[in-house]
Amino acid sequence: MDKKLKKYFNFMTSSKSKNNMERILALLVPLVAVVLALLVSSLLLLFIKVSPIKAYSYLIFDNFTSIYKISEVFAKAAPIIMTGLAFTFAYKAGLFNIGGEGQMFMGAVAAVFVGLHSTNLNPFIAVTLSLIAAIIAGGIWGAIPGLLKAFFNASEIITTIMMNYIAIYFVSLMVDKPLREASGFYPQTDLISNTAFLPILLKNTRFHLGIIIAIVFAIVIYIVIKKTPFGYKLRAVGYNSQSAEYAGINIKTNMMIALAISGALAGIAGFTEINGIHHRLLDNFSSGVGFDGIAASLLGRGNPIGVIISALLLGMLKTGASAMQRGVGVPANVVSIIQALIIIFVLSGNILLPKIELYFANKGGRI
Amino acid sequence: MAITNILTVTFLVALLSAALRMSVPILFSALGGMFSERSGVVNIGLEGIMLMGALFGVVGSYYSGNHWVGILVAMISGMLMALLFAYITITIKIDQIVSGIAINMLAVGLTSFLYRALFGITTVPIKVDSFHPVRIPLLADIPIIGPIMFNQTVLVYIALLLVPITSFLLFKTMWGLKVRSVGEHPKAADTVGINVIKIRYTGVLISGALAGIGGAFLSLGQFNMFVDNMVSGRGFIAVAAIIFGKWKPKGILIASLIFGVADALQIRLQAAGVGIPYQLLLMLPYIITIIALTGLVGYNKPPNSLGKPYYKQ
Repeated sequence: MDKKLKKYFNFMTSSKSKNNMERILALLVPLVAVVLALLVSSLLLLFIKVSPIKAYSYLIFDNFTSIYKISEVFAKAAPIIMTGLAFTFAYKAGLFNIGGEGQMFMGAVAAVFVGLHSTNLNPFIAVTLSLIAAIIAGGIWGAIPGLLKAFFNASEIITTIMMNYIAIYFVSLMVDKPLREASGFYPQTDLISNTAFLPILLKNTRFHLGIIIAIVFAIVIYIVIKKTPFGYKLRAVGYNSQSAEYAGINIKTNMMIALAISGALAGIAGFTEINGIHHRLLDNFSSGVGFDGIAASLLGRGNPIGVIISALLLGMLKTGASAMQRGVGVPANVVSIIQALIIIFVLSGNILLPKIELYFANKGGRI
Repeated sequence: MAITNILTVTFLVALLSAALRMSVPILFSALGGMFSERSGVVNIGLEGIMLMGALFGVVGSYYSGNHWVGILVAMISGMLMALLFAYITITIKIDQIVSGIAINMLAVGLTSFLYRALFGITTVPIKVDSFHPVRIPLLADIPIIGPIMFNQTVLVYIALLLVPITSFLLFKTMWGLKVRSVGEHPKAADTVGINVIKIRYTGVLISGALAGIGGAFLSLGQFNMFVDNMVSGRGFIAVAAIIFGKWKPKGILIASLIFGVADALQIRLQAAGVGIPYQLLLMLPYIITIIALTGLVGYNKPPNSLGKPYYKQ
């Protein structure tokens, strides 16, 4: 065996470099998945006789043509980061929170309610109160499926989905009757007081403070999950609930807390959307962000930092999609197809990873 | 409008007739989903598969001018979507719930993309050949029950007939026994020579075929058009109906009917103008689903290996 091969062999087998190998593959899988998803979707573009190269150049590169457009990517990513964290957090405890959408809607209702009544407040207090209200509302909306799961063993998957629909109609009710704008013309609320606006950090863009808040929350959640005893318990329940119970962890309480926190995180997405972007509540504002969060979480492989990166990617696809629609007339909803394909390819990649590693290891071993 | 005016025979007949009609899409999908779940695969992709069925029912009916072709095309589209779902869950072994979410997302994007690609951006929904009620002579003349049950579209009768048929398939045939044993204990089933993978694929494909028809019933038998996201949770409600119905056809029928009543009641009350905000009424089916899931109607035990991938040693 010559030196070079020996080195290669060591690289493949030593635990430290194996870690590196894993890391490289961990980055490679999402990248390959994105490329594959774009390739498969290009068949659809060919079907409607649009050049995929032209379409994708709008989809991807149009985002970098101005500071405004780059800021839009961040503005779109902010709520996705939050709903992504929401899915991730529950997932760590072995739970599926598919209710991010509804929890975000409820968070938005609460944030708007505070925003409408904070005319005489100091901006710092108004924004903080809005945030807290969104956290509480989202938290309650997440806690209900948690309670139903803990006490009635009701599948949180279905209950959180049902809660989405209930929240959507609740928002529709709020803007139709009690919170309808003073003029009563449209089914929407009045603008919230500008004391509750999230400050814009880049002039003439929509790059607002909520984006920073979302990133801070991602870091906090990362630390909570990875470095605290609570995070450890959470993961223990998610990994093997039976042995966690044996080790003295109360599973029911843990499940409820996990879903409540998860809901609270999604609720914050409602806050960033209302106080940072729309400044009022309207029917179907930011619809679909709850599901984008699930995509971001899966793409980020359950790592909060990965969620930030994935949310930025999805934000890019979303802003790029409107450019693509204007430029070559491709319906913007192609993006949800791309998104679904990315999920499928990432997860297939994750599952095939050990096999790929094994293949490389065997190859190294045979030499 | 006073509540006494609502409780008239005419109102009740109209309500129950609509309830039966509205339970049909859920019934189709849930009966299909039952086979998938009995074989050990949770299919929350039913929502997306129904959406595909709703679109392709319209597509098939539009290009052929015949609603039966629409149903066939819807069924095939449902099976294709289910095949993808089966491949990623059974063969690649991606988590079934996550796969289901991906299937739903894919269907939302694909259906609204294809609708625009095929029919352009229209303000008026395209018209297709759709199902009309078929009045069964004599039976339809029975007071109260007649107009409720025997003045429906053919698909309603087919859905009702499917209840005993699926029951027979699942509990009285060798194949049904195989499906159930794969869902309970795949390893044991494998040991006695049952092809676990094949049975699961079949279960999922049946769920795709029936959910496709269920979706097409929405677009061809109820709304007479395709609208983005028109399934709006009925696929998830079907999954709930399977749980509520304890993985048995008769239970699923009852569950579907309850959701149908909630749905019909919501529309009727809205039309009657009872003074309750219509959004609260729209929430009704979803709230009932949640209540149903709390198991207040008795403890439901799912098949033992439900949701778990099978690894052949």
